[in-house]
Amino acid sequence: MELKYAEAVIRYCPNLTDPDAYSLPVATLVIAETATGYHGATAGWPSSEIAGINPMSASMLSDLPDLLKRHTREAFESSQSDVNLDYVLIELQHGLRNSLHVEEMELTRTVDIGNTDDPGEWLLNRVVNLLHEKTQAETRPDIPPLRGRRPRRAPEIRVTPGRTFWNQEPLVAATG
Amino acid sequence: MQEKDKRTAGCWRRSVCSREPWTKARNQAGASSDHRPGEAGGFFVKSEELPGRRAYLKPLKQENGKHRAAREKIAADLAHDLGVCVPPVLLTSRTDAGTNEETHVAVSLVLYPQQWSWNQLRAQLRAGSDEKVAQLAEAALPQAAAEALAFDTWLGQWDHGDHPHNIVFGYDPGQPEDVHSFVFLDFAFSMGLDGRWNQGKFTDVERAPFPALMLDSLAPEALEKTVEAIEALPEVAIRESVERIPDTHISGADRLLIADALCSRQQQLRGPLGSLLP
Repeated sequence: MELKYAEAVIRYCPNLTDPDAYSLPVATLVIAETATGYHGATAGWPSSEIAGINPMSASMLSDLPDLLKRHTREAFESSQSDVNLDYVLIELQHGLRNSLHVEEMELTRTVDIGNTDDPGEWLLNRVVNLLHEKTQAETRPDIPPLRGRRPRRAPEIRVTPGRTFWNQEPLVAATG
Repeated sequence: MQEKDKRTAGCWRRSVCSREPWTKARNQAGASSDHRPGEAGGFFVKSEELPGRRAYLKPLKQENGKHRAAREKIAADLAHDLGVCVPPVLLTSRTDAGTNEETHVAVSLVLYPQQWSWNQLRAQLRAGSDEKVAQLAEAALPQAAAEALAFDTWLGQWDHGDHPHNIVFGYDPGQPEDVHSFVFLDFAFSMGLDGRWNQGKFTDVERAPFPALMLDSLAPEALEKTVEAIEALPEVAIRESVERIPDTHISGADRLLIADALCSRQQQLRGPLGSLLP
């Protein structure tokens, strides 16, 4: 099965007023187009695992996969019948521009995922792997601690990120 | 806002231009791309003007005649006089602007360590969330909505409809009482941008587009109080806020038009807002 996909990394900034604050990767999103329609998958760390987070922000980020699914569905819906994966990502970036924000986007690419009719497994693996990859890359020892907050750390690898997959409704037939 | 930010806001209100240059900050969390039509772009900056703080510099794109930066400064200054929560703004000129980038820009102070887009908060409020942020926001909503609707109507601001992020809820978790407020951003499209106030059209005062959930929650008494405050602003103070914008950032014609229009519209708010007043 050939699959077109685009992906984004969503980050959390613990202090928007600080010109030197770091934003931590907290969730990932992959959206895809196949011959059967459009699909999305998100993964996100439990908010209790995010370094430097305060209790109020933790509650706002308490279900990242569902939160991102809702925002992404809105972005899909705003594109109506003329769906373009890159447009959906740009809409999502436009809508999330504060403490939670989209900082990295990889625009549409194509991959062959083998002999399957179900893109769900590939997409879920992709979002989880991308989240692990980005999180590990951010925990370098040369990065100083956040001002006045706990040192930066990655969620423990044993922690399983939350994740979700959905078929985007209404399904719009791909034209190939 | 914190006491130290109130002092900064007062200082920036008295000033027009920054004394120090602003350079790109390492932290670009939330910067606008210019991928979408109508977006002028911008990026976050820092300066010796206010060490340790981040501000948003805009516009990035050069668009002759729009005077977006001037509109941001005038709106921020008038909002300060009325107690409406709009971040303080200073004007500055870039020495590092690239080709097709605007040289004469505005910097808008980021007020809160934590800010949540209206788009995100709205869903929690609709769902009746019992999260503390949603509770704080729900309590602050009636007065903030009333103040901003009166202000937006006066300025002909039409970019606060159900826009995803031009309204944010900010709070400071480092403060004992969780200092918080709604913050109203981006007045670049207000005050007759693109000729909407030309040929005397500024006398057609319509209620500003505003999020439905905010309209439903609005406090009529706070709306009345803000309308009264706008009506009571001395004409000389309104004109001074506009006329002090330097030639680098606004044309003489737009300066005159905006000053005349604001002075005319300040007494015409009760018609479009009448159904929401007590």
